[in-house]
Amino acid sequence: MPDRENIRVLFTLHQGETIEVSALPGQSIRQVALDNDVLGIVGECGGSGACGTCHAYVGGQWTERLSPPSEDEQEMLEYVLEPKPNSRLTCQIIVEEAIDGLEIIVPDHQF
Amino acid sequence: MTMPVPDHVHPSLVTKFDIFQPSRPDEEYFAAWVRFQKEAKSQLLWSPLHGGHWIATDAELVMKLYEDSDTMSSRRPGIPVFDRDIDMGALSRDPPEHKAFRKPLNFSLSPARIRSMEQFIRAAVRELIDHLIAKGSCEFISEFADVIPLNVFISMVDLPKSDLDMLAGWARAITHPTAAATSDGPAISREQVMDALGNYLRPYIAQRRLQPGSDAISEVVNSLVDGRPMTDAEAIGACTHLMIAGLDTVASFLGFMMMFLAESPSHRQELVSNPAIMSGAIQEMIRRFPLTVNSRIARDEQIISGIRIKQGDVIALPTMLYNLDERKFPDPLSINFARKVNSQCTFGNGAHRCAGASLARLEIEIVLQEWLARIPNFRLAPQKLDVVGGIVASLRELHLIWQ
Repeated sequence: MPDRENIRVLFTLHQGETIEVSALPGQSIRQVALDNDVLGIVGECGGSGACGTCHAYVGGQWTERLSPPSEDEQEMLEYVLEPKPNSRLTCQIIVEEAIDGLEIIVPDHQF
Repeated sequence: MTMPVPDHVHPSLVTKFDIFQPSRPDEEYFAAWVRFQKEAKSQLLWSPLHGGHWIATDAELVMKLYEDSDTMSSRRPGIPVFDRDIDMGALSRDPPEHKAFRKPLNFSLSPARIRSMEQFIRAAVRELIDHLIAKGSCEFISEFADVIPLNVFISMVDLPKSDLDMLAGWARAITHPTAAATSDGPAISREQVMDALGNYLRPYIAQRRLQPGSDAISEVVNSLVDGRPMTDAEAIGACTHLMIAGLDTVASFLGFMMMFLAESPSHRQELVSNPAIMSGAIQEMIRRFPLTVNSRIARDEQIISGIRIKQGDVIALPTMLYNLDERKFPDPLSINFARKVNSQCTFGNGAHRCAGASLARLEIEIVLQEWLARIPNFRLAPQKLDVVGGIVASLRELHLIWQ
């Protein structure tokens, strides 16, 4: 059982290095990234899904395990740099127990 | 256009602050906004100028109202509000209607499409610097800042280069309403500009419906609205939006950025010696020089921050008051390339967030790289720097010197 107050998120950075950080339920993955100085995730609209600059890829089986992106998120994802089937806006993924161990791959560029 | 204060506005909420001419004598433009925000006693203040409007003074409120299409309408963009309903495509439409008009813009201006323009933009920037470098000096606004973004834009929309000055003049009459109303600007009302733009665009739109190209006008006018083709009036509005939004914002930004770099050898040195900081440095400069004061109209009577707003009230949302709020960004007027800028309001927010943000950023990046590679040392010529306020603020002139 994961510690309720300590849900793990793994970020794979530009250089290929993976770091593990702990996150609190209710936070967005974008916020977790910013709080832990993960470079390459911006989200300059402040996390409202309006800018597409917190784009990242989810690793492993997580594309299926996360609740699917909303229509608005899907549309925004059409316009990010190098969209892939496992693309997500990290501001739209909210930390909960079920995502313990989530793998996030930071893209090379946001813009 | 000073208006009597309406009955629902409490006299204590009235300010003399002019959003288009914020500075006191000898006060720097952006410093004026910081001072205004510090002195503001309420999250909303009423200005009787420019037809009468609220000003959101709180950073979070500015960001929130940009995002809030449910209670805030964009149907009459701009201050003072137009004297009639005007069609500016996505800019003047609220969700969900807005979406069909926004979609072709997202497509034409997507990061991937913009990256494909990199070589073209870089070549244009190099050519212009090569042309200027031997002179040892330039008036940066007219000789560079106005030239590059406008040429990029004109090639994106595939209109004749010879029409650039006329189109840019029209765009400025919209974005600098105060200047346009005085001897500074063209003696033409914004409504007349809209008519002139419509007449200018009509034959191009007709032609690109018949023979679509890969330019942004073709993409916009041939896109579908709820499964049907756009009407001619809608197509003209959507193209007008491209013209107004695309023509002078990057040029204005480049002016402020180069003014800053001309006076800061240490920041120039940082960029030259460590290109890896470029992305963060651009982000910080975009934060530091927010240029626009957009507005919304209250859809219904409502209470915001404890203040009663009537249906139809205009609310100015100065992007400066988010980016330069010292509670958000300590020492907000200083530029620190290592600063973490995790959110900023330069491009607005919500459904109407600037569709051209990627293009702006790429143009800025290329200009920085190419200029600093050829002219790493430059300074300001003796001059009085004059900011023309407006929906988009810009420097009137910027004289630079190098060896």
